[in-house]
Amino acid sequence: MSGRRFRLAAAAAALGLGAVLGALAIAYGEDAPVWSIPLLAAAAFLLCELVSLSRGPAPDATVERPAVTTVLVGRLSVAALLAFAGATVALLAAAVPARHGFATGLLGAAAAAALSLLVSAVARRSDEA
Amino acid sequence: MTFEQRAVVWFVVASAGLLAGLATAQPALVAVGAAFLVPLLFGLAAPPPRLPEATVRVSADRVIEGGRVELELTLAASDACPWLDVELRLPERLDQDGAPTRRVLALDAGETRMLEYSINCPRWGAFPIAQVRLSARDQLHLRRAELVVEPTTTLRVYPSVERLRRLAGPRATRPVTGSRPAAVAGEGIEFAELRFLAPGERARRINWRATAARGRLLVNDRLPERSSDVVIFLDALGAATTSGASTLDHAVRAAASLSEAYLRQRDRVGLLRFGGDLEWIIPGSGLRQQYRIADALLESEVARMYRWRDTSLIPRRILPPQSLIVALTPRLDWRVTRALLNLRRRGYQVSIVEVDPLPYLADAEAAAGPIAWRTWLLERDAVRTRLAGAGIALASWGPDEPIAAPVEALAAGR
Repeated sequence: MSGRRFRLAAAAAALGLGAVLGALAIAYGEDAPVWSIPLLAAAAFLLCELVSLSRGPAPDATVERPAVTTVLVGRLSVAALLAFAGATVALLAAAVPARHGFATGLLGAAAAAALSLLVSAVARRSDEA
Repeated sequence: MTFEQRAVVWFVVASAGLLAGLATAQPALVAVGAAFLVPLLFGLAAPPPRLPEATVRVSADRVIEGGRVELELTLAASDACPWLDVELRLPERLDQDGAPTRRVLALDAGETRMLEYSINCPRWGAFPIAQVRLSARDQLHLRRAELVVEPTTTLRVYPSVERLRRLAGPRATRPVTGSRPAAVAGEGIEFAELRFLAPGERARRINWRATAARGRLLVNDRLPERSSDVVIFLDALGAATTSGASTLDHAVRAAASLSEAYLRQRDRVGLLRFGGDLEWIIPGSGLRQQYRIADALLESEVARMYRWRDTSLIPRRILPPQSLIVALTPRLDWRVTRALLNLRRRGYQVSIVEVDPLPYLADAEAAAGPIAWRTWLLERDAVRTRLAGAGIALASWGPDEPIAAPVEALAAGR
């Protein structure tokens, strides 16, 4: 695949996703259900990624298939899943009632540390693989 | 290793989302911030990108103009490299044939890849080959490692040589055996003339058939084969150029052909490059001299210079007495004309192959205006007449003509 085609594909995907997000914003506005927030955050993240990819390889370059697969799987899918997971955890943490005070703080810190360790472990493991 | 700009953008978006969420008590903003924060942490926790080991191998380091060399770039990855941007940077005058010069690859740990490039060499020159730029990124493209592999080989593209059959010969020869008949009679193979037998001459020189016809003893006079000194004068002070070629390109090809032809005749050939720096090769003979001249020609570039330059700077041993000087010049710089006239006055036999610059100056007439253009042409004609008046033979050479045409014209004029 040529770099120009790669960029065009990424730009087209970004435009499509942007159009979908825009349509959703127009349709629901501020009435979007809470459960959709992680999905929307992940979609916004994905949109940024696609825009970044559309400015990626030089137009005259040849992008080999393994590199395209790595980008689709490693960069877009994994990053989108991580974004979704992060947004979900953040939303769940925000849902914990604030009146528990110190206990909530401890729980939040523990959750953040666990999440950080998990992310680190997964990152190293995926790189070794 | 450097961070990509997007890593900073992610960090800023994540921080802004989290802070705005805290300030406005909106969980949605915190969720957006976290959506950028977690991939950022993931990317930073992963090991940094590592570049593969790159080795460049060129199939030949010497090639004739118009030839082709194969270049192999071997990439050996010790660690996985999910995105590797490989760019082959070739010198301007070399063409890459076939595969693109930029590729994006993904290498597994321990994988070795060989990239092959076919390089055309349309023009002579010495080119460092080839610079390779490697740029590796990690899985989420947050960090980048770059390496530029500098060229280690110099590719020498020699000018193509045209076979010349007839050459302008010097009037004087050296007392060394060569292929050129000397001006004075002596022991040799080439027949010169018949003359009457003189006392003390060897009987084997008698031409019995002529003697029988004339009734007196006649002997064959022969010319000994001698070599001579030829200096090729290459004008690198000025050149007329178009996008694809220049008068210097043609002059260098002509110089290569002339030196090869004269050396084949066992003459001593030297080179004098009259450019920004005066450079020379002392006259010599043989195959080694041919390579020496060819190597020196490869480094010919047009060097603009505004200081005074004349022939007094030329060492005496470069120009042996009574040698033939064959100048290759477009006659665009008056200093070259003056130098050639000086050499002629010093007693050298000078011949000029004028590399015609007019085909390269198609737009010059419009740029300069018709009167200026016509004046310039008249000036050229005047200089040409002046050179001819000084006893300098001159033959014009167009870009589409073989070099044999002006060389034979000079030879016929002698």
